[in-house]
Amino acid sequence: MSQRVEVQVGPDGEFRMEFTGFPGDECYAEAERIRSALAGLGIRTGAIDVQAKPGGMIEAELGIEEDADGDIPARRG
Amino acid sequence: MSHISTYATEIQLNPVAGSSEAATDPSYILFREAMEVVAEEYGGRVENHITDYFGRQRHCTFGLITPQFEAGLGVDVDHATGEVSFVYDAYGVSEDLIDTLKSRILQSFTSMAVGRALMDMNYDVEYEEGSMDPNRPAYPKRRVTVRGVL
Repeated sequence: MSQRVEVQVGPDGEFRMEFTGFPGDECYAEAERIRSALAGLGIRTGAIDVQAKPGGMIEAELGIEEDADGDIPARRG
Repeated sequence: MSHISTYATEIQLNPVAGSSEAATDPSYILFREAMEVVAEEYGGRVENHITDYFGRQRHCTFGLITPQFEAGLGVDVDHATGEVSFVYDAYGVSEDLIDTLKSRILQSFTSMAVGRALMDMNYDVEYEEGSMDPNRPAYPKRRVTVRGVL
């Protein structure tokens, strides 16, 4: 699965970053790298909110579903 | 794991020794490009001055001149600190228009900086613009989405 970042920038420059497909805690390090790059371009950032995605959302992104008995997760496609 | 994070932003360009260094600094170059994007949207241009109600010119780092605001919305950048401030003579001009222009400059600069940062990190980048409210046109509350794929 590819690694994706979607950034929504609001009218006054505030923004929301959504990370998809990063293993483990790598997305947090990637967020810091992006913030550091932005600082070099003249934008200082302060975190307002940071939330891990719920397990169900991550499984949906990865194409994993539990079977009816809740036994072994299966990957689609 | 993946996550969602939200950030407030403050623009502070890189400290520079003077105008010649500013001309080659990436933060100044990007800010000017963002001003030019907004100028194009409004059928205007970017200068290094604005005028007051009496027509007197005042130098500024960047000046956005549009048909709707001919005196211009200026941006002063303190070379020593990189601090950015808006300067303008609001006489006879709608505060809503001024606020909208300010917002568009901040939004354009931020979205272009995000895109540039992602490209420098080897992402393939695409931009999409839309309204904050699906029932209203994009102006003045516009949302810019920057997508990066590794």
